[in-house]
Amino acid sequence: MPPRPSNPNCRQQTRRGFLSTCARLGASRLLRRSPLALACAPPKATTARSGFGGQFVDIAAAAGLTLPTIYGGTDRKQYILEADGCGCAFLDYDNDGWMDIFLLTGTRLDGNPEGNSNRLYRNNRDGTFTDVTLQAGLQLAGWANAVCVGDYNNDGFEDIFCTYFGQNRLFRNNGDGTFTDATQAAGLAAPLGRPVWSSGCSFVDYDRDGHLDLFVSQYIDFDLATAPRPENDVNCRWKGVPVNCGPRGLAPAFPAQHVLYRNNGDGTFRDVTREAKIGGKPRAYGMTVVAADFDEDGWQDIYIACDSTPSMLFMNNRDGTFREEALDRGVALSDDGAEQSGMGVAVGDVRLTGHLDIFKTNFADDSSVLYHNDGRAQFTDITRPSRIGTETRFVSWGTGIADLDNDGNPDILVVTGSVYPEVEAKLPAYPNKSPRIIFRNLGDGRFEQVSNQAGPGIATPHSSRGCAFGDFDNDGDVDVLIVNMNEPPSLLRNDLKTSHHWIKVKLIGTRSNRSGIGARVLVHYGGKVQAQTLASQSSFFSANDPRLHFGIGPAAVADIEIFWPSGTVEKLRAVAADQLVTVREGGGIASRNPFPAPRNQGSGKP
Amino acid sequence: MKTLRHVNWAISFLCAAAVAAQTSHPASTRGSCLAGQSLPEAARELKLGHIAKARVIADGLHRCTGLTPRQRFDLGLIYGRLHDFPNALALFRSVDDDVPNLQAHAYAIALGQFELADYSGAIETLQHLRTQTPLDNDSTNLLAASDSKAGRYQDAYALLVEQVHKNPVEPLGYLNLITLLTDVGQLEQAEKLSARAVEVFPGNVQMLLVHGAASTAVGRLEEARNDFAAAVKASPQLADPRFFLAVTDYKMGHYDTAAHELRAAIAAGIVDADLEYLLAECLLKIDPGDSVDALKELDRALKSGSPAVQAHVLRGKLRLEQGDARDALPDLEKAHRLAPDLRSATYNLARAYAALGRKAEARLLFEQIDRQSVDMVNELNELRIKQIMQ
Repeated sequence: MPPRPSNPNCRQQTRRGFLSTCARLGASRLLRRSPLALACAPPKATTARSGFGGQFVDIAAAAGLTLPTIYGGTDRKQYILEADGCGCAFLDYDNDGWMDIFLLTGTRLDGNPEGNSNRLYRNNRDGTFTDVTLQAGLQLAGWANAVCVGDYNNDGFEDIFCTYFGQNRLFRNNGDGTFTDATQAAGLAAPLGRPVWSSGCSFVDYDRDGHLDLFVSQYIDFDLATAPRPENDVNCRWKGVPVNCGPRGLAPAFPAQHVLYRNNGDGTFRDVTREAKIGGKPRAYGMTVVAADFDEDGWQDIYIACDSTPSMLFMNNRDGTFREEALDRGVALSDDGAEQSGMGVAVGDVRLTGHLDIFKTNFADDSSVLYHNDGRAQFTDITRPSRIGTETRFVSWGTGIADLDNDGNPDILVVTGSVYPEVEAKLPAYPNKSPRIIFRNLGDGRFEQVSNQAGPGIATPHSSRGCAFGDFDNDGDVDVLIVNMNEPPSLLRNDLKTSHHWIKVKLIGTRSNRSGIGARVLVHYGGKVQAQTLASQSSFFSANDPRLHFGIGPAAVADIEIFWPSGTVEKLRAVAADQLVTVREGGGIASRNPFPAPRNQGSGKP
Repeated sequence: MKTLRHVNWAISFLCAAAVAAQTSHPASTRGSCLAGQSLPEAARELKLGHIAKARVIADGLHRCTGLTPRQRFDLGLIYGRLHDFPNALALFRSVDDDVPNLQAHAYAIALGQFELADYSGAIETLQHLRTQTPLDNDSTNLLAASDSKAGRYQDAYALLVEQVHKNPVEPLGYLNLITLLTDVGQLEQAEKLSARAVEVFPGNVQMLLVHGAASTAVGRLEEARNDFAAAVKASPQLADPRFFLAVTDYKMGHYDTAAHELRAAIAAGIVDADLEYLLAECLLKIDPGDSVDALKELDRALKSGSPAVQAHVLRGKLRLEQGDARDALPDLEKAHRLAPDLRSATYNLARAYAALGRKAEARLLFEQIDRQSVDMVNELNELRIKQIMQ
């Protein structure tokens, strides 16, 4: 969210002598307040250097994804609660080798519309999906935010954790197509009282005991009974238009800033926030959480995109505690030292250095940021030289660093949408619905925007939030699932026009957690190296296909190095392209699946 | 506040110094107690920026026992300009209410209170004055400012509306009211009032700039651009209209146009480092991968001699980005010295220190930023104001 208007408690002016500023010295100060906080809706002409191979078509309706994501008002949002939206996931809940879809939903202030619920769609392996929400026991509606996916009980089936304004939910996968709400049993029930607003979440084995722990970020301390409304608070304005207030002016979440739950290994969790030294850093509006080993020391670190406050990077001390070092490491602020409205996070290796870079999406009139990692978790802001910084028109949310055209250079996709639908009537430069953005990686450190060359699925405007990347049709490219506010989702099928090669890597942990979450995988191809990590959440509040997809360009083979979260390092030589390899920790390649995959592939067993 | 402090104390002092220069005070004719000479001398030193010298003279006078009430009042004004408000207030209070006259005396006390953040005190002083005599423009402004600082926006608004009604051809009232509306987030009203001011004061460059600023604040960049273009036409020799016109084109993504306008302004002989700085930013937008031309513009900006903190920051940042922290350091250190509260300077200097292994210095600066970041109320206001003002 943006640095938004304040509430009445924060009205006290601090700029001293404001009357004389303008009156006596003239208008210059009205504009010259800050160096160049200038970025403001520049329409961009796309001048692509060469054809982009990825072509995206929205096939959601044909695939059976026709139910809308309900989230607050459609034309007007009274409260920030209605504005942030929610995420989605690609996951293979039935282990049949095909990505299924889980979509969160919100509700409305005046009550939940009949039939509105989170949705689980089973992949029919023919480009369509079947709604199995009810059978699966996942019917639930509320102010949902994030989803993260991981096998917390190491039984071979992916479980689902969802955050809410209200009670978060842990859904244990029973392995028979159904889920059980295990929130209470797992010790994750919130104390009674006013609802807590949890935002991002991530499964992470921070102590390397082979069990997935759980990190939950918190947003604001919000109470519908007292929250300011646009019409009765002059400070709830954006560019002069009355809008929903926050997060600025609203207190950060309570009771703790962010929460770390340790997995006891018996199906329960214990709050270790304090002893892990997570809770000491006050005042941050947490959003998307990504856990990864950024300094390559074999231990998981945690990055949180924060809204209107400095983003946070908790570095793992390898003793069960963390230290927050985002500022020192260059990933807290913009290159001018300003807080940004961090929403989504993508982690990948844009310069092919073998290290995990961070891409963070922000609000309109600001650009997303790209931080390059030197391998020791010292980051350099490369937003400007990479040419990412010229795009500032829209509020940006879900994102991924993914090789959309399999040329061996990972690209960046961003979905966008306003939090103030009422603004466009007065300010057409800030539309409610806006197109998706693709930055094509040119392979020389620079990107070019190719949004108008990537098919109608990219160009068509929506007010989008979360998105997940995955290959739902098992054809060897990256497709995209997108949550749209008060609309059905988009399912962007990538009809790739290139003949580049690729490799997918699926991980099965043995000493590590069963999902392999936290593993860092290096793929060497054609003289290049690319790093990826398996995260249980990224983008915006969403979870990607856990099969890591590497475009490898013209290369026919690749070497693969896997740095398992347990510390095990595994190397696989000369792996042939265009196949999914499933690697069992310590045992090498367990299976090879050339794509396109046959429809009867997959056992349904762990 | 620096603006108000400077402007108000300066205005008051100029009057006082003039009076002092014309007055002979036989009682204070020895050494540092030659008030008739010392007061104008202190004023001269202040004007030259010789704060320490002015301070020595003021302290010398303060120790004198034979100063007249008027001299004590004038010395209070000197202390005001030296930002020693407790001494200033004490001196004002040491003389009768009619020294030099009711209005000036009360105004001086209220201003001292305002500077010490005693807004309710300032309000009380000026309201008491209002029971004795109508407030002049300066006192009205100060009362409105104090009301606003105390959160009494309605009172401030009422005062300024009354001022505009009483004196509709006085631009000051409009400008103050527009600023108040802007500060309380009433941007649409501010824009409407500034549009009216443009009509009331046709061709007034300041009004055009204010309307342009207000239009920018409500996102109407095309209208803002029209105002700034009109201001450039009206006063092509001024830097501000040129800067705002170019900055608006920059905001609209018309980087080539902005660069063209800035080059034209520079070619026309307008010396303002901000123009070159903005040109450098435009060049970086036009070709983000090439910083050579931008660095040339920044070099020119920094040679022009006018204040150029932003140019120092950007040059340092670019050098830092090129991996040359050592070369970046002088610019960033200078920027930080010139503007210690400027985040971009602090942050990038910290990054430079960190890159050079000067961890302790980096840490100190990061902590400074960190502290600013968590001061939610102040930060909120600052950011909101920045957002409005952008």
